[in-house]
Amino acid sequence: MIRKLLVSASALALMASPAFANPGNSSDVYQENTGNVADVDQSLSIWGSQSSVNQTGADNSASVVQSDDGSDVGSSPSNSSTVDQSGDSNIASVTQDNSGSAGADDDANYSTITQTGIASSATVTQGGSGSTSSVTQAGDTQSALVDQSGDGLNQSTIDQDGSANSAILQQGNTSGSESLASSISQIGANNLADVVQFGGDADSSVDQTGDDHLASVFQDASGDVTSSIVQADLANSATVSQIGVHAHSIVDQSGTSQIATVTQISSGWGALSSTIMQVGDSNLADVLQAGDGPATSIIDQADTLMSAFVNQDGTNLFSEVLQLVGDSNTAIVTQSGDSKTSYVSQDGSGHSATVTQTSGTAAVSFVTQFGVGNIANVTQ
Amino acid sequence: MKFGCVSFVAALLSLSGPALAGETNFVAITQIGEGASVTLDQTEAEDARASLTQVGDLNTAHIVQAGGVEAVLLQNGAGNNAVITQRTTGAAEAWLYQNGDSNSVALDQDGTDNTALTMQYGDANSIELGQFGDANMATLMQAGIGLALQVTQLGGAAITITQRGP
Repeated sequence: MIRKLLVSASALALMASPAFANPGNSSDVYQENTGNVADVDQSLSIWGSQSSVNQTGADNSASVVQSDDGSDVGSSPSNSSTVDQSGDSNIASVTQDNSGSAGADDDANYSTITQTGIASSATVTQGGSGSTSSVTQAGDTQSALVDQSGDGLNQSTIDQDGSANSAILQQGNTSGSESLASSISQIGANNLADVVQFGGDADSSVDQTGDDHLASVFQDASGDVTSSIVQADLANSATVSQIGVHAHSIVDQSGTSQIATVTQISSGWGALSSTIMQVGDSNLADVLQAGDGPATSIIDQADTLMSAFVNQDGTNLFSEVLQLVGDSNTAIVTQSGDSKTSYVSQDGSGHSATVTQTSGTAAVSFVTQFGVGNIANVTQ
Repeated sequence: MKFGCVSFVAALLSLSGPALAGETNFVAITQIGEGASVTLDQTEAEDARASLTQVGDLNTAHIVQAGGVEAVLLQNGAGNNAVITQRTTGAAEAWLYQNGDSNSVALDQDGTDNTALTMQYGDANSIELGQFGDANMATLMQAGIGLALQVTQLGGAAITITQRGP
């Protein structure tokens, strides 16, 4: 049984929700049972649009398209969409585009998608300016794809609870005027989080709990970029690539067989900072920082079989590698530029520390090793 | 004699303190365990200072310094080995303390105003010192069984040698 409902913009133009301020288009769709299809097209509105789709059952599909006509009449157009689906194998697609004619701070897209079940997908595409997206998925094999390409403040939140889920986010464009914020939370196993941000300023947060997670964050901004990745349990991997005036990264991993790779490039004299904390066996941390200004790297590793690699290029460099409560640890620190300081502290057996400090003045190196078979090589 | 050794260690550590400012490169390495090994290359700085402390069964330190330099090395273990080369253009100072069954020091100072102070406590001690400069000063002390000493000084030279058997 397949039921299909088409709603045109003009037919429901006066059915405004009480919560919706502008006298724009409004649509409310409620469907039960399986195999429902809802297509809501609210294109080229003057005042903006509101849509609510609620589907219960499996194999449902919801598609919402909202846009304004570009005219600047009365209050700023605002698009709002809510999709709520419960059941397996549901599909939700929301496309919102405000023309941005009323200014980046005034126009707004709002999308909320909630899906409960397995094998569901959510796709959100937002343009114009000032977009907010929230995707909440509970169940296994869910996917969320969010694309926010407009100016102004773009915000995205993705929450996934289950295994084999994927969250893919793209924010911003190349105008450099965007302010981007992303938050991804995943609970389960075999989850993927992929964040790409282009803009003026960018902030990303990824929180993953469970085994075999992969988090990748790429940020390229004309202003400041910040990234936070928290991963717990077995075999997790975090990759952070940042380009900006100032760049800050935190990676917190607790588990076994974890990898953290952080690359930071400053486009000027801005400050770079990276903090990697790894608790568990067989962890690897790799940090590359390059710029003209100061760079700070802190790597804190505990338990066995750990490796830390730090490469810094700039002025006023600081590196600290702590490998405590463990054995077979390796630390290699390379610093190039004026005024550089390196601390390496290793506790356990079979350690090795190699510190190379070249090019420029004032090098300070501290190496402390407790255990068996320690080797320290320092070149200044 | 043990108390004397401790006070000597404290004195050497205090000497290595205020060496962080300016164009001076500074290294502090502490290794506690078995089989500790250090390779230190400080040849690109105008001034270089190093403080090394090794406590273990087999300690080895290889140090190369250039410019105005200072090296402070404390080794305490069954076998201690230090090879230090100071190619200096100004003041050069080496402070060495070794305590263990087998101690060896090979120290070359090439420059002006060279100062070497070495103290060894153990059963098989050897010092090989070469000072090539204008104003050399060496104070060498060995205590234990099997004492070997070889000194070459070119330029202004002053030397004090103390050897004490069991």
